[in-house]
Amino acid sequence: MSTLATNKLGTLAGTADMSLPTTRPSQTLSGFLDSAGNLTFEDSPVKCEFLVIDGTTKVTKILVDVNTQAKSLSPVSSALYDDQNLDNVLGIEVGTWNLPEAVKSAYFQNGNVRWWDLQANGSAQGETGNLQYGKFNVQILDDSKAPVLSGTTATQGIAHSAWTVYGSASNQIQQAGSNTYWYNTADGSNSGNFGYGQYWLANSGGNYVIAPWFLNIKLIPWMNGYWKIGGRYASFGDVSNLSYGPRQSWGYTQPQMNSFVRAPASGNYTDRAYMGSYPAGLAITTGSSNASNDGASYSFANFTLTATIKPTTVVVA
Amino acid sequence: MTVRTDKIQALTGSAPLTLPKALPTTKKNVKVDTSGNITAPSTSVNFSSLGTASETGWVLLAVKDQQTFTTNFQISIDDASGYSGSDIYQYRLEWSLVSNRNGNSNHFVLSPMNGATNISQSMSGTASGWSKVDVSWTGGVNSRNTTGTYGSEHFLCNTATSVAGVNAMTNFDAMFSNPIPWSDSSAGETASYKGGAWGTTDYYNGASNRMIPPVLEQVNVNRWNSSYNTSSNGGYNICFAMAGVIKKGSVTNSSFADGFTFSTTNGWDGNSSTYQLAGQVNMYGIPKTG
Repeated sequence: MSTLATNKLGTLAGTADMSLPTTRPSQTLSGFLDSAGNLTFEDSPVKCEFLVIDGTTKVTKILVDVNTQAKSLSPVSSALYDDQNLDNVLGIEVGTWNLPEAVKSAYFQNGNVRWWDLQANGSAQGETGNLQYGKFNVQILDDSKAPVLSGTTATQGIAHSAWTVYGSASNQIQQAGSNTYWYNTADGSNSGNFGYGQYWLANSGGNYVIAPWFLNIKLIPWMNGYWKIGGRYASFGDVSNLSYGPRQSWGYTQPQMNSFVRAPASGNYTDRAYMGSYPAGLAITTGSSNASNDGASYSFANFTLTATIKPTTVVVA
Repeated sequence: MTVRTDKIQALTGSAPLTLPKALPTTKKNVKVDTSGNITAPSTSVNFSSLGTASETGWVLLAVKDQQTFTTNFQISIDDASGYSGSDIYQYRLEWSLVSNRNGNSNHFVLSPMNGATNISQSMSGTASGWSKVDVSWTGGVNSRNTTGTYGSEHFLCNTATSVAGVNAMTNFDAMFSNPIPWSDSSAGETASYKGGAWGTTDYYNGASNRMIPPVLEQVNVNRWNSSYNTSSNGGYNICFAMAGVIKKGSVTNSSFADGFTFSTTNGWDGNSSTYQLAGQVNMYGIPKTG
């Protein structure tokens, strides 16, 4: 770089010292200027981080977070659920925490999010060639990455919901329908307030080495007074028998309905179906009833989280 | 200050450029205007579409944020957009709706519009779907073949005694700003929110051929039932459908759609203004060229 002191050129007293590139780009590239005065040409196009309504400056669709794992999934907070109760909970967390404060405060203020969409795909690889009972655990996180339904003062029997995953009954699809639940607690009882849902990956006796999978979740917070989450899931079936087609399932949940809930301002966790805080993202952790086939078996995965918000004027981050 | 680029670094150009006097607080794109002013403005770069250098993909054409209940929830291409209905090859509608009334056979329906004119026409429909919990659903099945002012081409979901029934709502925002209570007057609660549905629907916008492609629609229905005010029942329902409708034969109205009306059968047909909807709809479109 050659330094061009703009305040020493010409007759005017400029104040922005800039460092210019010493070589031209080999092709037309975008120019950038940073706070240190470095003028660069980079092969990094302007990224589309959100969509505005055509012709306006109103933002509605936002790319919140992307997490790509090349090999196995990484350890995440041990506070997240892993039905193996392993020391290292493996998975991913996607949410607003990596966004600039200006974006978070403008677009993700309380109640501004209309719905969240998570699209994920990847590969499951049984290290021993037998990935049984693999599954994903889905948890809603707040802006501190804590599970939203993790309050410890909840009374028994409330703030939980049925997360039911249904599969096709077709005999060409190795799925008889698995029922899993959005438990309150790690042990699956309805006490406490530890919410998660599960998508099952493999069937009992599944015997395959590599299985692609797809996961699509839509989460709507608060609407009608309760959060709810629904999604679709598909993965390869048992490749030991090629007559089996892909496994697929879909599910939906929202908290059970007791007679009423309170506004968050009340701070009263004893009320029903109270999330305690606004969602800021999701965690996907892995699990299996067979510990040897836990999260390390999931790889080459991509998780992309977008949010749809109430039309909001664009801010500069 | 003005710097003659042809006097610096032995360049041969002759375009005078004006360098910025201030640096941005964070890394920003550099822009040059027709006067040669180089700036790194703090204004954001806004996109309304996904596309390549030569072709435009999905464009966010409009968003309707309907705060209060209305009988006819219409969304149209935003006035600020440069696109018109004839430019659009296909629409995608992401919708999240609540209704204020229960009612037998009170379906959520979709009507294509050209301006204020309903261009719904008789369509042939077919669908296969799946629903869970004890409410049958007609997502796309038996799609309405009605025309005229209150016609509609597509059932979004069957709300019969199920998903509707919001007795009172100050505005749609309130449903997201607080956990709204189920009605419990003994606790001093005054509002109850008992139903809603959301999903995604595509629409092929041909002049002579129109269809709602048989893609997998995911429609989640929040079903209300008084028995769900217990600890043992969850008020939920989920429906998926492979539903499609298509026009066969001559068209009734060859205008292109530039918007849609979301409504209910009981309300839209003019039978009752008390069957209303509120919510948010995002409308995307793929332009035919460019």
